[in-house]
Amino acid sequence: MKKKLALLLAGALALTTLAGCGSKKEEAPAAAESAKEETAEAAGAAEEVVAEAADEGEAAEAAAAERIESGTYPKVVIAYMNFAGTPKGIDRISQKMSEITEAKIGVDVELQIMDSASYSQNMNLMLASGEQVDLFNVVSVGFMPCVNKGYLLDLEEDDLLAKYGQDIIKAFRPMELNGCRVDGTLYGIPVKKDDAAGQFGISIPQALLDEIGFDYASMYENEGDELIYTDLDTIEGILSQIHEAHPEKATFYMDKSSIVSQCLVVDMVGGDPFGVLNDPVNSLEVTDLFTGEQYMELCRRMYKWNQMGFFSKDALTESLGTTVQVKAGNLCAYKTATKPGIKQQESNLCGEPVIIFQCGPDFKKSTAYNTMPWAINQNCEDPVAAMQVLNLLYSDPDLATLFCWGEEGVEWVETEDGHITFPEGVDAQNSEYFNNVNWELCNQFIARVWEGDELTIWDRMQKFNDEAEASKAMGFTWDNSAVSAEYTALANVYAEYQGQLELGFVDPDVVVPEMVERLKAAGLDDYMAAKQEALNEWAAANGIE
Amino acid sequence: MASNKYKEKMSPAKRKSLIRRSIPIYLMALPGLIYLFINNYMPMPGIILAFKNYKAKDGIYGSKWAGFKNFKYLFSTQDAFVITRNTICYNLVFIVVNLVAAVAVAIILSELVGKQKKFYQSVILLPYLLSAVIISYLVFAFLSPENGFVNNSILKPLGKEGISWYQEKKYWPFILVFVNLWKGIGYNCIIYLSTIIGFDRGLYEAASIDGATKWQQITKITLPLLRPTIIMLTMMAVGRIFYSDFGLFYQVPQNSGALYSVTNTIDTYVYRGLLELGDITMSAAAGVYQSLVGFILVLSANLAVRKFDPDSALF
Repeated sequence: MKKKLALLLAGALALTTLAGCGSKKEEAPAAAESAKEETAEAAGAAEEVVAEAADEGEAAEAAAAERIESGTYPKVVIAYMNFAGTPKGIDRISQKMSEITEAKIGVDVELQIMDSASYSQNMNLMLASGEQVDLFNVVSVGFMPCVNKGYLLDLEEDDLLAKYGQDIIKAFRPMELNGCRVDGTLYGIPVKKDDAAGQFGISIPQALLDEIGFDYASMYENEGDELIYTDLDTIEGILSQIHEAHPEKATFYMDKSSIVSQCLVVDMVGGDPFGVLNDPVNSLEVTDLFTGEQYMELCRRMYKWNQMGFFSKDALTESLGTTVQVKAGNLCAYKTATKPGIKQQESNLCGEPVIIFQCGPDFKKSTAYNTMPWAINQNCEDPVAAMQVLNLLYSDPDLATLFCWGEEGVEWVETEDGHITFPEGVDAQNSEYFNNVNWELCNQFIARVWEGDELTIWDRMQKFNDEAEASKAMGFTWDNSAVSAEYTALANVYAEYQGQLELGFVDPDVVVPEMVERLKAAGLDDYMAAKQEALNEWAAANGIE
Repeated sequence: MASNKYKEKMSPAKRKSLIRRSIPIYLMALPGLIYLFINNYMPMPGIILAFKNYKAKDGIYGSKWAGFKNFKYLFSTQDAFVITRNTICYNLVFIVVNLVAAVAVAIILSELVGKQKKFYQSVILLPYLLSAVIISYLVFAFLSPENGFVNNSILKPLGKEGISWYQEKKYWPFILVFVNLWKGIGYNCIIYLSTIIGFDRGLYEAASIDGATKWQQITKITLPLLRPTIIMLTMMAVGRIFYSDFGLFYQVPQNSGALYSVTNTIDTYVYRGLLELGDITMSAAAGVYQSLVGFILVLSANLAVRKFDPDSALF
């Protein structure tokens, strides 16, 4: 019996090793690698022919001409995330986009659109398994995790960007592209979007302000302004009046995940709150957020507001978004980050006009460019074609409009004043391609403008981006893989206290020191030291004082 | 090992015919075995991920070795003690409470007859079929500080102050044990119930003729006959003592930070810590740790059982 058991075990083990699909998997990347090399070689050879007499722009034209002539169009798969899942019109839009890319550069494109809940997981699986996906947005998958796992192609390998992405280079300032460099290697192309954010914006429905008789109209600095600049004391006054008028509703709420990042002028270098720049405009010193004055003040203010009854008792476990709660009639006011067009955006989301107050400055964090860049998969068989598609997405208004808004006459029609809007009978619910994620789609600045926003919104956005105060660490990327054990421990401690402190359910003067003690035990000092060291190295390499 | 003697006595011819007769049974088991092989054995080489510095470019086997670096985060903080304690203690309590309740309910159900029995069994089983998210909101309907049933309809009429349930740690060990029991009891008692139904009715008839009371019948007949089943199911539960019901510990407390010290288990800790990091090698490390300790626990539990009651041992 024992013998049999041993035999059985041995057999099972042998089978597992055989079936471990190891051999197959190992071959796949190798094959892809060699295929890549071949294409690169072929491309290289083709270039050499033209390179002698031509500058780099002509290399792109030659590559496109060669593909168009050959009549076989390589397919480039483009993946991005939305909030509603794969839209019905995805194949039609892919085809329409292919019509443009075929004519211009001899490439077919195929869209892959996944909803936010599954995007990260699906992308990780696709990237790890070698399934075809050439261009993708790293949002929610995470830029640094992708770099660390080796998923992303070096975009300057064989002068890829310089030869085939010239319009991309034109669309950005060097500093913006540098935000996607890790140790000097360029792994991504940023999205054209709001790079700065107005800190501590408060959104309150106009009807509520009218009801309590608050005179907001006189608070605008100039007529026609979008925002009212004010301070938290004024907001506190407004909120307590609203609370008196509507004790049955929650007066105020903030989405838990973005409180520090949208309220305080601190730069969470690398996107985590463990070691931040508390004075980001002037200094590169990594300091502790939680013992800093700004964090303490925020928590004290929220504690006071909680004592005043502004928060629902259920706020700690609330999982609905703020605007959904306002729409449902359960919430009066909430925090938001501001940007040009925010008033229209929040009014749409809340289903009624809102007034936006702003209590902090406009501020640009070091993570502004690398939270959701576009990248090319290192497994991509034809990086030249992928780069050329990306180049078109950043430079061709027709393609960008298709990508952002769908097909003319089906998803949108032009209005008399040059906006675009839904055709008759189509709305956000039944449209076959209405993703509402244009902040993620390469270059929305060159696409058409949807009704409700001013036609000049992108000029204003550019100005907003240019004028906002920028962090000194702009362009720094933080690779925490060497201290990932500390990170995991820190993230767990912070998660335990975050909601209670930042929504004012506990007294910060008692609980913040307790949390700091536990963070220190979990390795906060080591983590911050590692961050500071990386930042210093980066500063030295880039000549920043 | 008990069957050894019995098999050695068989003649080769007899054994051959036995195998032949069993072919249809093996065939029936085949789909299950194939599934088991694909699902449980084929991914096993992936275990080495836990010891690798994974890079997609190099593949699983080509990546560099990392030694025990990926395990470090599990043991690097004081949290390690809390999550291990929570996981083991909750599971121990669950095993004992669920066992007692399931056997009791199974015996009670077996005494019922006809439609009544079906009705009760279905009602008891129902919570097991609900997803953890739905259960978490059922619990929330009772415990919500603002609108919950307990605060508004029980404590208020009694003139007592409402409790911020999702901030008070001390109640949660009881709430979790209760919710777990309520959710799982219908399913847990099914196997016991089906075993009891299979018992020879003649034993009970003889006993009642001899004047045994119901209680005596239960303690002297039902429980001793149930013992092998109880031991087997308990041992399987012991093997999973390092795993926790993720839905119960993550969803039911509404992921409330204030409760982490009493609701954080290894699974939820790994999930929370790696949510942003998405590091598969570290999650693999946690998986290896859980299965290794689980494996050792099953072996030692079996060893103990074999010592006291060889017939009931699993292997």
